[in-house]
Amino acid sequence: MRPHKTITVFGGWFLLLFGLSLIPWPGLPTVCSDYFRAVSQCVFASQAGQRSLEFQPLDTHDTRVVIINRELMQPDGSGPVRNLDLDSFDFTWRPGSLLLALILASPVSWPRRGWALIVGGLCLQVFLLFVLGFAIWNQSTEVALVSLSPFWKQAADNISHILVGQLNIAAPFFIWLMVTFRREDFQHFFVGPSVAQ
Amino acid sequence: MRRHKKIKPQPGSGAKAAPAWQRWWASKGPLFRVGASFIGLIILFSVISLAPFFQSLLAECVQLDAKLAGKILNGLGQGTHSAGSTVVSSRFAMTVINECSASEFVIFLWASILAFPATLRRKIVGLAFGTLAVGFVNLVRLVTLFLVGVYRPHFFTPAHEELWPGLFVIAVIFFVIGWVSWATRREQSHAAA
Repeated sequence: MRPHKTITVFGGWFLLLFGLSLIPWPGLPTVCSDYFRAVSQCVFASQAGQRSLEFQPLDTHDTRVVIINRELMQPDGSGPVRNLDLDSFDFTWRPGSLLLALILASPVSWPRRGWALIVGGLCLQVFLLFVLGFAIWNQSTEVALVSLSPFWKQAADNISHILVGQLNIAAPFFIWLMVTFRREDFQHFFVGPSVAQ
Repeated sequence: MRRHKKIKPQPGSGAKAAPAWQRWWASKGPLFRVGASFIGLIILFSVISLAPFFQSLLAECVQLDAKLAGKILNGLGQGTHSAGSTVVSSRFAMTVINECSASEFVIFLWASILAFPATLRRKIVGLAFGTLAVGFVNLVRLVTLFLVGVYRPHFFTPAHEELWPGLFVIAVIFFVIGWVSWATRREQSHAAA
């Protein structure tokens, strides 16, 4: 296939697939938010230790992460808590759908797309959990679970800001490049087969 | 899509196949190097974007965006004027904040272009046109969001939080892929000449 045609076909499929993901399909936000809460609960919530986490649904999009320091709680259940509200639908679906669209539109064989989806999906999940874990750790300073000097607190806030800011585009784009392509693909896609072939 | 047959070394031919990990690294290594540069640049630009001087520069850009959007909307008969970073008409008002400056897309674009192996001239062309393109798309976004706020106010939040971020992602990825295609093809034709 000629390079410009390869890129046009890729662009067309990407536009179609990612465009479809922008449509607010009925039930999708609920499914994504439920999935987010289930996985986060499984990974982060622990009944032992000083910290306790609850993942509560706010609406179809949003989830409230309640961070509790058990040692500060009164016997009647009152005490200081830190709430971290986030759009769990955007958090899971936006980067996931971009990665999905990029991989499925890529001009490589279907087995390679399949492997890229599996490996890329896992990498993205790990990254999302890392971002969430970092945000929870950063907010834990407010209920004396973590102690940071003002300088390091500012640094942690900035890192959290960077991670969240690049979550929707840079992370899926990077993972897509790493898991889908090989060096020789660039020759075929952008330049075309060499004369020797 | 061309398929390539895997060539296996024949027994007794004297050719010894490289270990699998070496073949894998030969195929993936250059990509990892580009990827590492990309991530490094994303971190660098993100850190710079948090600096006070950059935030004040961003505030200036946001005010300019609001001013331009106000002038375009006025030209469209909306009777708008801008005050600082706020665009106001008798029917709707919209304040543009630093988070609406599309700086994360500019960071992504710059990191992608600078990480990709191309000549400095083509990178500069990509950075200049890319930054202008992001600025233009952001202006279109502000104008359309204002019009949505006037005529379909119930659709403003989905358009602002769901539709436009997605459209921005599409625009930026198309630009990066287009630039890579242009830079690679031009380099190849120069090399052939």
